[in-house]
Amino acid sequence: MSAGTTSSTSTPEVTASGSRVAPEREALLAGLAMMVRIRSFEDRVQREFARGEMPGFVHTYHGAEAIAAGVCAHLSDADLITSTHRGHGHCIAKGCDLDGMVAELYGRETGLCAGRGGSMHIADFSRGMLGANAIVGGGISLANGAALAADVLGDGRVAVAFFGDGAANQGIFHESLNLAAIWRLPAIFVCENNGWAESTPVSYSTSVADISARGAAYGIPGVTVAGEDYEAVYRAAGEAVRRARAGEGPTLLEVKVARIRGHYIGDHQQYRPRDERQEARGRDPVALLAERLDEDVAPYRAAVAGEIDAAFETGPQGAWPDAATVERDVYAPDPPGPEPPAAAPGAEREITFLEAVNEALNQAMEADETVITLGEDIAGGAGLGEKHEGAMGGTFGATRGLLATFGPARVRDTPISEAGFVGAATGAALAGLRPVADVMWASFMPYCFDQVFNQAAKMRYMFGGQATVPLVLRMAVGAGLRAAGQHSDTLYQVFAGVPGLKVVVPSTPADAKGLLLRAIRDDNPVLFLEHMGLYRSKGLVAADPYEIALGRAACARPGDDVSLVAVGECTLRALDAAEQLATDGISAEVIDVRTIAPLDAEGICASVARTGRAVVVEESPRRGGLAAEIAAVITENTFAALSHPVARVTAANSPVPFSPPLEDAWLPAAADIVAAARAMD
Amino acid sequence: MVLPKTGIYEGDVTLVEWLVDEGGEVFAGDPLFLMESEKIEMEIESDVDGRLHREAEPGLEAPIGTRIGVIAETPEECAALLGS
Repeated sequence: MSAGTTSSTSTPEVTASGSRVAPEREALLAGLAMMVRIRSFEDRVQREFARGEMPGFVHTYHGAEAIAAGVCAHLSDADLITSTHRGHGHCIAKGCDLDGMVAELYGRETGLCAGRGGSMHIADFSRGMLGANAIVGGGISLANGAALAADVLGDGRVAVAFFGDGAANQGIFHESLNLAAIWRLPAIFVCENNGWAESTPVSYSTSVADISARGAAYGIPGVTVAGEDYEAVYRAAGEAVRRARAGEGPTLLEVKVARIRGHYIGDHQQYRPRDERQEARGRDPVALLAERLDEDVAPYRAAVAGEIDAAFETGPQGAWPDAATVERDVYAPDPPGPEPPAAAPGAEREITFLEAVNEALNQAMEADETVITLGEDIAGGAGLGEKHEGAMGGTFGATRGLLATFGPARVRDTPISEAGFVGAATGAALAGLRPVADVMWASFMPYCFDQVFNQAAKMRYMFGGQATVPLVLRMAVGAGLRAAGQHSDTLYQVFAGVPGLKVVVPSTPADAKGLLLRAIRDDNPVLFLEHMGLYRSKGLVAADPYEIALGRAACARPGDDVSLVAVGECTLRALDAAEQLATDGISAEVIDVRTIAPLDAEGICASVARTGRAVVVEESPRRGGLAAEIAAVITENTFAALSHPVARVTAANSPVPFSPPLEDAWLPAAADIVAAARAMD
Repeated sequence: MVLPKTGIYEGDVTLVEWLVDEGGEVFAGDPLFLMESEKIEMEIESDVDGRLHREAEPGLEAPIGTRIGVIAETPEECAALLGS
């Protein structure tokens, strides 16, 4: 058996007890000290939580101490970990500051995450601790991405994902193991199997007796060790880390532990048999290691008591965050330039929208070797040799030629695993790369929305400004190509409302190039939405690289009587409408919004304040839509100047239909815009 | 020993019934008392080994964090705590 071993079968390289070299007593004593440090901290958390002054709720690491201690003993500050809602042990073992941890548990400005995260979202990037994660399985793909960054940069780092038995039944676990296996990433997947996913026993929820057996499904070693045995964990982790550093690929390490306490502090565990709980108490890794080493735990506790007392003395006394800072750190600051907004430099040629996107990708990758591209079919024919590799170049051809120019390390086809590779791109962005992931169609975004909504978009804020997520997700949007319900959404109304995301919707080839180059250099997650109806459209585009600032609308046609405020491809329909209105003697100004988050409220409102009339045009369903948001912004800011209520021209409140007459009726049309503007006379 | 916070709820809770006699010996994991929080009755267990000294009567409705007793590891410690 070459891979996927469990406790009952083993390979020569990795055995159930890991490395065959027994650790020195010193290493075991250090492990005991770390475990006692974690236990003492958690005992104190339990006590203080009961008093009622710690907000929210807390999950303690009682019983699992050997895992964090035994794994992190092999890591340096440069190595990266992702953690879970039960993350205090990982923090402490990775060297996080106890004062900062306690202050965070009390929601103070002095906390590791400035009180924005709390126990379930605690992080310390200076120690390579990329965050606890309250989405079960949420950290797995992020660690994968950190490992991808280490692999691309060749810097020798490894990444560890800690997660529970419950996470092994999430799709992201499976997508991530497969991805790590095919790319041989320096990743270690540590499953902390405590027998319970909250109140559901693993015996019920999970199809295999050993979760490590699932390594075999992905062709990677799977190992199970007992978590009450520190030495077993230490040795198995040592081997997994060695493999990762040596380029031998990922390992799935399952550690079976006893959940000595409840799921959260205060859980009265009526779902749990009393004898099973008593049995769990007998599997205390701290007591068992102390006994084995013939050490008294009391001096170890005494050694950390002062530090813990001090942390619990100062932590709750830290200042509360200032309420005025509630929106701080949602976004990273803009990078320098382009100042003044760049006029397109160099010679202009007429090229298509698609060619402009392709040119921007080429120029970004040429300028910065931390820029990588990944996604489904962005090259094609992966692994099949020169004649086939790269022959696809993206579903629409936007990534054509990149593989030949930049090579397979930086231009990566992915399996059809949107959550897996978007999560990996997010993790890679945290660890030194500027990934541009191709999600193909916006309609596929719901498949990876946890990675986007809960992870990429929230990280900077939740971690008190520590995280920088320079990530671009490109995707095709829009109806009109008879692609019907699941290949036509714009999802403008969904994306624009997510704090932490920037959302760019270009309408011309020149804007596509300049906005994409800017988006790649932005330090925030940016969704770059390319309307399919525009891909073949042509326009003049400068050959040299240039950037266009995000968050600024453009005037596509000046006018005096009415402002047509349009998003993306609707700008073309608005220009059509303006032409028709001109024949009636109505002078329409067309504002191309260009980025829907952040929205250029000032630019839009300046136009409307002058014309006194506004028609908002965009291609998402009317209900709860983007047009309603833009109309509200206009009304709030220019009410006195308005001669008529703001009108909306949107898509219908239905999925996109297939039949041509239905799809045409679904779309906002130039005639609708003309009618709305005429009604304001 | 206090009326503990057991989740997100932060209002008053009720001490319903003691499950250990005054001066009784308890071990970590043993049920200590019944508490009612948001109309749900739950057993609260001891986190430590020791002897119980009760300081509150059943029926007490009080905020989370209210002290209701002491668990001392030894009779001497119990006496010292009571002295303080």
